[in-house]
Amino acid sequence: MIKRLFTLAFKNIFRARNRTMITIIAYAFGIGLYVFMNSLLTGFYNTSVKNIIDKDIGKIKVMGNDYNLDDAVPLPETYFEYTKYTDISKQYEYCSPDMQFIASIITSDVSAKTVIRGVETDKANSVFHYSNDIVEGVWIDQCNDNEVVIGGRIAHSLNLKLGDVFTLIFKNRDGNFDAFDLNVGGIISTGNPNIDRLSIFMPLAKAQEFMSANGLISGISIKTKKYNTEKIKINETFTGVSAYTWEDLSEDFLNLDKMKSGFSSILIFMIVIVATVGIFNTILLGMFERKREIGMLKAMGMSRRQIELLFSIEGGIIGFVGSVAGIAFGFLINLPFVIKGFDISVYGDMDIGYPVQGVVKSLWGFEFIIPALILGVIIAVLASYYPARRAARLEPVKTLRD
Amino acid sequence: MIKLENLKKTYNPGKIEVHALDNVSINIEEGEFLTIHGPSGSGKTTLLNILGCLDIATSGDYYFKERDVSKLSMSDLSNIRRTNIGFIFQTYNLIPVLTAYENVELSLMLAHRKYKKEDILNALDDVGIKDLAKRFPREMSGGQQQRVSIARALVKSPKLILADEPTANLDSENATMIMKAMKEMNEKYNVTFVFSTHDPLVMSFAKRLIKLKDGKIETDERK
Ligand SMILES: Nc1ncnc2c1ncn2[C@@H]1O[C@H](COP(=O)(O)OP(=O)(O)OP(=O)(O)O)[C@@H](O)[C@H]1O
Ligand SMILES: [Mg+2]
Repeated sequence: MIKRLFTLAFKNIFRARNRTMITIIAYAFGIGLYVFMNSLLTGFYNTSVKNIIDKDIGKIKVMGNDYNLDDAVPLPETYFEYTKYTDISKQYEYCSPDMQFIASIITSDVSAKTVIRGVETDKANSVFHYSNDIVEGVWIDQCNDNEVVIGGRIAHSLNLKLGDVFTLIFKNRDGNFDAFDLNVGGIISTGNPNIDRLSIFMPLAKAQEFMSANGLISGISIKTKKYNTEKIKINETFTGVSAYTWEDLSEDFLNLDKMKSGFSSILIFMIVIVATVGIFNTILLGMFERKREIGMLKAMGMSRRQIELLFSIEGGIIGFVGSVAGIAFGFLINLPFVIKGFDISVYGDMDIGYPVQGVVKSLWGFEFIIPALILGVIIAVLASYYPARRAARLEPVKTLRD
Repeated sequence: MIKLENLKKTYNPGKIEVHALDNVSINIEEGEFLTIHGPSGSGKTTLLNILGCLDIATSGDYYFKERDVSKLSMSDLSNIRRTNIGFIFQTYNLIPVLTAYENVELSLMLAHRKYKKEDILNALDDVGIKDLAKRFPREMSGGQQQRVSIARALVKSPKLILADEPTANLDSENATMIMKAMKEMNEKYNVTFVFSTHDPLVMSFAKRLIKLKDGKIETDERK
């Protein structure tokens, strides 16, 4: 019988072909956008997370005890002993110490704010693989004494070429201003705007010398699995330092992502509502047009439940077909963003809140197929619940009289 | 098989009451072929609906095969209809998306009957339209559609067939054919037929004629 209900439902939905087609198209549009938006946003999110972990922070960052989470760059007062690194690095294979401070970069005509990152060349490489991101010149291990590596976007905006000279001005740890002339030895492009737009790399020893902070560092980046438990372990084992996960240090981004996902869900929700109204309408009109027939089916002994089921199945089929078409549509519009990616550099160096830059690739979105199908069918069945119930409650005596 | 005692059906109770049926008592035996006639609004359809368990009387008793119908639940009524009663209407009421064959088949499925393909073809053959099995309702004449609806009612071998003005939309030639087919079924399978009609042609086939007026039985005669 259930099989017959399915075939009957299937035949019924093609009675008002145009109405059904329009409903399916509207539904497909909603589901398609759901798949596309999710794929693109997840693409942005995943790229961002990768950029944060692989190019900027690592999984855990150990900071001085006085470090304040509101400071993007640790203040010199929070620097701590290099020996902490020696101790901690015994536990973790991928572990890189650094010293960060803020400086102004000045060329003959412009200036900009930058963050100096003093790192141990091989350690930083083992955690962040920076030498793979060198687009011109060399990584700091091959730079000579007054050469440094600068972010690609800084080079671009200050019009600095390989070998060009610029001046760094900063306040050292004693509170005195200092200035040095340096050369561009390498240009780095990681895809993380924190690096590309802001950072200048130099050997740790040089940074310490600039800051007159010998033997001190500002942080230790660590890459390890189960970083949440490792963070606790570090905090329990070592004094004078505090460990943070990448999430602790990326609150702004994570909040923004939540907000954007929330916004897009509202958008999708609205589209789905429109599509749902379409299904509701289709099934309800079908019910009105087929009152007599429903009366006959009931006269023949079809139960309320079976009538209800018949109409719900009709809604479900529309939902299913709409979802399948929508998934196909979503994949189609997503395709160029998967293959070629979404080029955000057309917006210039505008801060879109995600730590991404250049071309960001959308996900294929295979993981959204099943949710989209389930969501699509469930919403459709729910949308047809009321008309189905009304149909089931029609009294044959009345409908057969009309 | 059917016993009605002092049956009353009142619409709009409490307001402007309409006594569609007023103290109707009838016995109907198995295998009868009877017509209910009378002026428009005399209560024919109302009576058929109650006989068919589609509607419930306001008062009085209705026994269908010794069962007190007034005490049955909705789903019990639905069960009686499913298995024991076939309906034929003036407007055929075939399911438009199903072929003649499938319309008949649906009736068997709803009655939870085990069946073979031949059973359906035989039912169509009984009313002379076996070769139209694959046609959709819109591809058939009114007379042919009505024959499908007869096959649909008969195929589940019900005890009772209720036909509300089955010939009203047909010309006399088709009406005669339909009536002959039903008479044959009545004689072949001993199925009870109750018609409501204005059509003298239908009455000419009947073995028993009941005349209603203002919800009351005016005459009840056998031929
Ligand atoms: N749902 C209803 N509410 C109120 N009155 C009704 C309702 N259904 C029928 N009636 C009234 O009950 C009476 C009997 O109606 P019924 O349809 O049984 O007559 P009928 O003999 O079948 O007439 P016709 O020959 O025109 O089909 C009529 O006066 C009708 O107006
Ligand atoms: Mg009538």
